[in-house]
Amino acid sequence: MTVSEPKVSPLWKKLLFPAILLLLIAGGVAGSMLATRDPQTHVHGWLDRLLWQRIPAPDFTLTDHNGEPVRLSQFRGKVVVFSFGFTHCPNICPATLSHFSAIREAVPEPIRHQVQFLFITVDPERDSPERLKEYVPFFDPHFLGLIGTPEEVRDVVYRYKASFRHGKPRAGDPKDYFVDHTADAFLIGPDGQWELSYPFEELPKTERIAADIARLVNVGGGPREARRRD
Amino acid sequence: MKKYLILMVLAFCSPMVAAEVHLRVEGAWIQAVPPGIHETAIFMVLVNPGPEPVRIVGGTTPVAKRVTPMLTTKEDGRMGMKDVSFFEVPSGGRVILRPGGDHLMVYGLKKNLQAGETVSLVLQLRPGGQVSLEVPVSRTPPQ
Repeated sequence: MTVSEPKVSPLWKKLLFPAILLLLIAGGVAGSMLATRDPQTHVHGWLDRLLWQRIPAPDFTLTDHNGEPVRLSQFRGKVVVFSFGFTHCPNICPATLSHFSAIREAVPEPIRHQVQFLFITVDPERDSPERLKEYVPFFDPHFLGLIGTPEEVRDVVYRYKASFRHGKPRAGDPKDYFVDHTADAFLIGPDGQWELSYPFEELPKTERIAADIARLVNVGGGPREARRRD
Repeated sequence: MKKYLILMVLAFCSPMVAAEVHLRVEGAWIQAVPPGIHETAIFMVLVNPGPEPVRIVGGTTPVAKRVTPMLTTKEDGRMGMKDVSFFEVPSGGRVILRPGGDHLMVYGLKKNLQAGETVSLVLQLRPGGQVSLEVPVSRTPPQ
């Protein structure tokens, strides 16, 4: 019985090892390039120094400034930007809402209707739908003020990893107190994903935030989706 | 006659001399707020070209009950406010009061302020003296 040896061409044999080596090197280079393009460390085009989330936005139901129930998920298909505040707030909240107004103006007109800005009071004890209706649309008639019971408000704040604290009554007047609160703005994509939060200090970058919003509207998904389609 | 003239000039000069205030106020404005809201804030840049530090302890305006210095704080991610008794502008230095930062807090607005109008404000200084200015009402920082 004769064993037939497989015939290997000398050229193939010569090239086999270098070819494998080349593949390994190429793979390594490609892998490291992909790693540096990870959105957590390197985001192309999106406003830097963001608090990345990209998780399903916790849903909530509150009451809007017209007294109607509002559910976050009813804005699916739109970009939602919201922040927490209170109407006795003389400084931070007017600044936030002014920035929101400038951001909305900076969003290209054809897609402006696809963004909804919300302002959620963390002072339902003193605020009311009527008071919110005086306050919020003053900065932009398209904005919506939201309120709930103290429990409902606390729940929303908690689920967005935010916080607030009512200060001690000042000068003995129980209706006169400050409210410390998270002043970040939260960005929810049209697919209902909580994309990220903008720290308060970033809000003056209205053009950049408007660009982020426009990108979300146009792409439909978040930064990761946008990156894949680049 | 000449004597009287000198006296008159002195009389006109004396308030300025007595004040000796080295404080310049730049870009002051007051945040417009909706009707029914009785708190707001005044922003400005305080510049002190003088040799001594200047303290601003508050202000008075015919349109509100009180104007007091207020710090903006950030603690555990929460933004808040803290009463202080004065802002001190160091000699040759400046203090910037801006939205989202330190400001002059306005309590008890007596009327709704319309963007475009101006309100009179007198800043009270320590150890003495005051600065009078007209502050425009605006919804956003004037450019």
